[in-house]
Amino acid sequence: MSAPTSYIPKEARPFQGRRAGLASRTLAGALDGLVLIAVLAGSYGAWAVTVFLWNPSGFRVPTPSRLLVLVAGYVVAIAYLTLCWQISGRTYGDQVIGLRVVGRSGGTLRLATALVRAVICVLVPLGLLWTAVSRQNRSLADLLLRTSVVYDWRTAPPPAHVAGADDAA
Amino acid sequence: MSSSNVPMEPVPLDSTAGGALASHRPPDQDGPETSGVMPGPAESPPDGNAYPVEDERSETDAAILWRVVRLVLEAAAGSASAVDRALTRVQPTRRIAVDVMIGGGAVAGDVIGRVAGRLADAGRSIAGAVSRLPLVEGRLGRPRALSLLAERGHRERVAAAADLQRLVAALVPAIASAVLDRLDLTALVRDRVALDILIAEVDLDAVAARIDVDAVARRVDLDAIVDRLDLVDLTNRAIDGIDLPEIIRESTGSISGDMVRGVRMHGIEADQAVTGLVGRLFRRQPREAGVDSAVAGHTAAAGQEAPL
Repeated sequence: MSAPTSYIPKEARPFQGRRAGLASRTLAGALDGLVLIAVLAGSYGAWAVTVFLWNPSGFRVPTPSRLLVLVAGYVVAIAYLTLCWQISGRTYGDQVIGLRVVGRSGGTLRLATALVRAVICVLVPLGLLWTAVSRQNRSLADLLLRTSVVYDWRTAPPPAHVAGADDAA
Repeated sequence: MSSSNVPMEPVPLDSTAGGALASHRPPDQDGPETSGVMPGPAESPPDGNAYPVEDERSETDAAILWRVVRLVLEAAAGSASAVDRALTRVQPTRRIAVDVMIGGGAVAGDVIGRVAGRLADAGRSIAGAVSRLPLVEGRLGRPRALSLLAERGHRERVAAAADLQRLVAALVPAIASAVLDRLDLTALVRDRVALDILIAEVDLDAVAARIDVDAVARRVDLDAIVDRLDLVDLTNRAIDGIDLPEIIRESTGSISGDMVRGVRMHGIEADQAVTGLVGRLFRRQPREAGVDSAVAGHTAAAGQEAPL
């Protein structure tokens, strides 16, 4: 019995399941950054609308402090990455570029693993540059957590993580 | 000889028996002395006498008798030698004894032949003299007596030939069966027959032309063959061959889908370019893109759904 027919385009089939390089991951990260900005802007707008509706006569444009914006940005980014990686293994940027974050066994990450990976990626974004140096296209987070970012043009989610296999190293 | 001036009664001949025996006559018996062994129609003299009764006849009969005896002795000697070789070492004394027997028989045959020839000459002279006596001539003639003897001899020889034929018919199958039982014909054919040469001479095209392919096809159980086929596998191969997903994408794909697909492929190409650049910087051995980066469960064969 041969493998079932793949619906992935022929030119992309050789790369299916292989670890992605720096360019694709950077592009996906840039898209996720835009998503993050959009989320923050939307949150700011929602906050302002809520304040206006609460006290229209005394409404003033909210002016959050830089620290608050920075903290909010980190929190939203970590939450966004963690949930996306834990649920489907891919953020919106990964979805567009055709990438997926998988664990050691090829399945989705545990919540804890996804959280730690998100923290590392947010706090040390330059760790992504190690992808270009690594022979296995692994970033700093991948090296620490034994995770991988692969080309995956499928829409179906990968198999669930294997217990114990995807724990942080 | 003197037979030309002696009238003789025709002797009935059994040409069938004579011909059969002549056909079984061994080659070494061909020759002048054996010309009278089984006279056929072609051997009849032109004067109408069916049977030449001459003085050589005694020698010929004796020679035939000796030949039969010699054949029997030789067969016995050969059998004894074969048994000796098969079971024990060959004993020269036995072989010498057999040779002595054969030699003695040959001498005895020659002597008997010569004596019989002399007696025949004497008998012919006496019979000729008696037949020329007055009152006897025409009653107790030499031709009459010799013709009776010839007829009796002919009957005996025909009967002997028939007996010999029956004996041969009974012995040959038994001997052949016994010989075949002791031979490994398969090994003989394999070792001694050039099967490749024989097969090369076979006209296989002619053989194939005689095969009724339709009749063979009618006997084929196609349902059983279909049951053994993996139709799903065949279908997948056909889909891969015609690239049906590509056809579907081209017919139903959107512009945004094509854009995303292009972005992804450009991303992959950019990854390869970066990998190559870094490889040159670090002087790494060139490797196939992603060879070391495959992750289990995410190969193209595992792809099930179109991403766009």
